[in-house]
Amino acid sequence: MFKEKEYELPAGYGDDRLILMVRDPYFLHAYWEIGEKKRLEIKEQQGNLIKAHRVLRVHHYSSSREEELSPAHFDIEVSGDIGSQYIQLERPDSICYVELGLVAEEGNFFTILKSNYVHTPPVPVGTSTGRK
Amino acid sequence: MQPGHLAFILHAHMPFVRHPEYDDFLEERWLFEVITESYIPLLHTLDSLVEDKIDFRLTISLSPTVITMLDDPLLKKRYLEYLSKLLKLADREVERTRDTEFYPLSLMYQQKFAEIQKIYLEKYHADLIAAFRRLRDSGKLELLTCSATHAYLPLLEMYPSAIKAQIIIARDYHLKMFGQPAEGIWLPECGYYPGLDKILRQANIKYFIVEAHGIVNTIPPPKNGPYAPVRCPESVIAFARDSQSCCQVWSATTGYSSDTDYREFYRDIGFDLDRKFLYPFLQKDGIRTATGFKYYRITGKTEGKQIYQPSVALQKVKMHAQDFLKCCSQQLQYLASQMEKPIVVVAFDAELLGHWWFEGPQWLNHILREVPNFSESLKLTHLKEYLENCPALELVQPSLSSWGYKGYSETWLNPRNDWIYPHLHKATERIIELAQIYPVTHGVRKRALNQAVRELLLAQSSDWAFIIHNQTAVGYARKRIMDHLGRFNQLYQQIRTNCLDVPWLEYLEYQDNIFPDLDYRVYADHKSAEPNEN
Repeated sequence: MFKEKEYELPAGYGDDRLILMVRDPYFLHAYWEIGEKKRLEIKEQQGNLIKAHRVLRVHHYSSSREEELSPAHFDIEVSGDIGSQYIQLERPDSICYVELGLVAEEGNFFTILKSNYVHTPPVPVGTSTGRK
Repeated sequence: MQPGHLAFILHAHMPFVRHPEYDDFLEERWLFEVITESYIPLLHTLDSLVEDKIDFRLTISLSPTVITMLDDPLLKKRYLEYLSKLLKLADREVERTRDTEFYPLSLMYQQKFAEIQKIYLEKYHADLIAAFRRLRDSGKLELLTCSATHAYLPLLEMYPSAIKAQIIIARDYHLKMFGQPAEGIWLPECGYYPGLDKILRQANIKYFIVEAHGIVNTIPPPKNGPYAPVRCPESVIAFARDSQSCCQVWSATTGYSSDTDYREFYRDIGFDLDRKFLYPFLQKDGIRTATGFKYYRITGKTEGKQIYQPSVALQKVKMHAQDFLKCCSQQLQYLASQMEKPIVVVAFDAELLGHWWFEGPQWLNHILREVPNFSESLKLTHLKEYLENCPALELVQPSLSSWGYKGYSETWLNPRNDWIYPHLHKATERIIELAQIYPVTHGVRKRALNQAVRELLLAQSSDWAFIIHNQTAVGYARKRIMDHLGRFNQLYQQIRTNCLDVPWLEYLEYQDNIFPDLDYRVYADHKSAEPNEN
């Protein structure tokens, strides 16, 4: 009979990854890891930027045809080379992706990582069930 | 006017819990309790209906993990040991309660458990899979499959190979165990996301069930609401579960199962009596556990529970069965005036009937026997039979949805359990990588690859995230995730470095022995979703 060790999971895997998941019509969840090589690149980049800070830039646009040409975005301040964030949206039925990046003082954005796309579900309108 | 259709679906699932490394393991009792209180009473009820020539229809989904555990020789042996201990406890309990108000109830349980043992051994010969198969062959019961280890699929959406593996392994296992393919699937937690229909179609799955809002919330909503199935873009059909009918049965506040005359679930002699009396039913470490000897009725929101009265409960069962059929009948009469061939899908966990709601099997028995009295407006069906002759279906892509808390993914993705997903996703990427590196292999490496898939599948069970969310057996759930992912990662390293620890691999194959025929190449992108030639 084997006596197995107690398994631990690593804090990270050394990869570059930014994954976006849908929790419900109004909430997303993103997690990320920045690998060693990219961390060095960022350090270099950040050295060239005055007062750059790290953000998660959330891109979202409605899936309805009338609005598909007007995507919008907002930023959430984040930190850490390994982290996660819950993201609240203003409206459901949106197509979203996120970028982890640096925002320089002058407002320029530099992408570190880009996520997969997701589509949040629509929210109900009342319906008759016929049930008494 | 033609009658409307009522489809009952019971979803039978338990997480894969099997610990051969211990003589007795507490969490294995989860399975033993539901076999005793739900599965055998349900099978026996359905067999009685067949013997009495009652023409009923029912759909049951059996998750592959529950099938594998019901079929496992070690767990069968342990179940019989459990029953034996239960019956010895019953003898002592009957003696202890003689001359008390609890005596009739302790006798009732003693007789009930003895009957369960007799049915299991003499009627079913310890083979519940065969019992389900016979009922399926009668034409009255339809069996659905479920994903391999009950993974919550929307949170694996970004890895189609992982979804495909969960579906194909389940499909092939169901075919192996039941001799016929399952045409429909119960998606774990009714978790659906747009695009899943493509993978289901590729796996030859024809229909599934979603929570009603997954269909009625689409823009534009379907004209018949949740009362007709819809055709997804990939031609797979989606049925909507009727939330109101289901709440009428199981709601903890307003459902039948919460009636104050029904038996209380939580008060059990396993938590009330002295440990010395309960030994040896308890494990050696003396951790208290439910026994099934429960003497009180729900009573109400009070600590002062009153004694359970089976005859009163039985009257309520009959009343609730009549009430349910009357409500469904009225609903279907209204719907049939508005549309062609309406269907109301009433679906809940099979374990609700008997385990959580003691009187549940009796209620179902009364429902199925009383249906002919409502035949003008109501006809029982299973999903396959309904689809044999149904009107043209509207094309709809259901939205992301589940039957979990708030209707989406929050139960499985919240601050208590979100830490799981980076590791699950990384492991998925690693198995895809391995499947691509080794498109063909054999011998020990193939065994290691297949075992890596087993460990990943077991880590993907939605049960662990659910348990952590609910804060019940949190330590156990965390350890299961750690163990399976830890084993997976170690196998991955050994495969990549070609340094396989064969004795350890043999240990894992013995320990986590689920799906013996699986093939790791199900994760290869080039492999199509055709039936397993094995």
